[in-house]
Amino acid sequence: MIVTLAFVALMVLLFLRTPIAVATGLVGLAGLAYFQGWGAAFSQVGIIASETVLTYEFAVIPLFIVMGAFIAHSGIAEELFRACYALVGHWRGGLALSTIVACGGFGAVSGSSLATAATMSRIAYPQMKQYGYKTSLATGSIAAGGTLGILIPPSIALVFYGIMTETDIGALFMAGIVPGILGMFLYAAAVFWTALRDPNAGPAGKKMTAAERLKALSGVWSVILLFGIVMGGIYGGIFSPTESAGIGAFGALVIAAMRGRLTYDMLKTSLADGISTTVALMMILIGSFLFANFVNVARLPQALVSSIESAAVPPMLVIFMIILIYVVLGCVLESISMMLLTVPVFYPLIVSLGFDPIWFGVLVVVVVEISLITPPIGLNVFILNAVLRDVELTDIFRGVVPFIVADVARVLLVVFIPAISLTLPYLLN
Amino acid sequence: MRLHSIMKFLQWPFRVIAEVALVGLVVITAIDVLGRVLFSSPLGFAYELIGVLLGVAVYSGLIGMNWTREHVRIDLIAKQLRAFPRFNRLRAYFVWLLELTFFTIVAVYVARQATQLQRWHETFMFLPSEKWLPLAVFAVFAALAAICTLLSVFTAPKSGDEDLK
Repeated sequence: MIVTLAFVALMVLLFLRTPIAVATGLVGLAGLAYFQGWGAAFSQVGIIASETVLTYEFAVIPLFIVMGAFIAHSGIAEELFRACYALVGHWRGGLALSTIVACGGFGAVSGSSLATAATMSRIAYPQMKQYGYKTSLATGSIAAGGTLGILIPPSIALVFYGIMTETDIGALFMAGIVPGILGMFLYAAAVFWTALRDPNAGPAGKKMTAAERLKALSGVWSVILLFGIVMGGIYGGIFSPTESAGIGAFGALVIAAMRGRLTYDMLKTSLADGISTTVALMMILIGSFLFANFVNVARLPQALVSSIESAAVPPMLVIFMIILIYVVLGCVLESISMMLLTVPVFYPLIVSLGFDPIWFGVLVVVVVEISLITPPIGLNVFILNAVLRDVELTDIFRGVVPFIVADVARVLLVVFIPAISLTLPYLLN
Repeated sequence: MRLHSIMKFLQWPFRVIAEVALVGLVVITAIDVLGRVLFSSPLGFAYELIGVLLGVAVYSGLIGMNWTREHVRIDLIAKQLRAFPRFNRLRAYFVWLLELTFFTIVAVYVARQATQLQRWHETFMFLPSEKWLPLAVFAVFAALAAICTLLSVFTAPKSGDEDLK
């Protein structure tokens, strides 16, 4: 009863525009006070608010964020798009395809879906409009392509999942690679399908010569190198995820310097972006820890496990129920907050049902990705709408429909073929 | 307007502290890893220093963030709320009060955590400092952040729907 009341209170506070960190923190505090008394609840605030920011492992969050900020301001996105365009731009729907691949590559090193969508909308949209692309396909491919950044490592969402469940972040990163690439292929299929249905939606671009292609491709070495260092370092056993994030951020800074983009303004803007995102996320993490402690003290996960066991619900049905809950929550909650609020409840259930925690982490992030482009929240769609002022929101939502279908297909593949996410981490471990 | 300018000026050093701490995080991690991998000599204190820098970045950054009230919120029914201006204003005050309460509790209990650690004289393993010292710094920053939430009711630069002026 008290837990239901807490969830209702939380939702009301969130809808009233209370900051997520404050709403989760205060509801968690009140819940803890109900079970343990105010003294114990207040001491937990002190412990969590101090220990969370003193924990070395949590430095992975600002380090990956600042790496993304450096990358976003270093002009790498333009070169990625140019390289992809040189390869496939002359195909029908090729520019949208280039956008998807460039988004995947940029998301891989920036780790942020929103930064990817915002950056690519400035680079890819004018090009697509120049070649007569329909607004729906142009914006849909950018909004959907932007979501790839949340899963392709280094992924902040996977970092949060790893922190909340104490799952190996390196293994989670590895597990995210194949589903991320699969997402790119399925999005490419969505582009081809759209171009096939309506040839005017994505006309072919200009074909480049072999020399032009080679020149364009030479610009992306830095992305490949950075991704190789970050991921190779973790899997070669050379760095921990926090260390690889630090090296990645340092590497991004060096790359920006080598490309002549490291100016005082670039550094200032990147650091300001990095600080505001870090503070917002760390505060949400503190609030979520309080809420998670309350959920655990209320023994909600245990109650959920025993009720599922006594009802003898098939495990796969439980998974689909959880997916459904995420899809519904995704319509009203922001992605990271949604994960932080639900994972402490669902994780013990998943483990008790014998599912792999790494597989579940990837599944959660894939489902959360969908919420970035589905109405009414669809953050990536709103980012695009904010950047491209002349584009109607309905056009963007119409454009993302084929990509949502592709996402649903990917969810089903990840659910029914766990090897998609688990082969790489287990092979390399 | 004068109070606004004073606030803007006063929170500037804390923004710089946060940014320097963030750069410190990157540089210390890189030096530690490169030192260990290339020269087999890591920085012994890197592990603890990174934790401290993270805290400094977060709590000094919180000061500016609380003043501008830029925390992540759900905007799902923001448009509908705007249709009822009186209710929306009441809501904005209520939310501001919740923010003030939460950040005050955080500041007070981080300070209490620091005083408890001071009593035990617990020290870091490598950093030549007692553990309560960085916590005391965080508590001061958190208190300033709570004060900024309090003052944001008069001076916040761009609070949009949360504007209480």
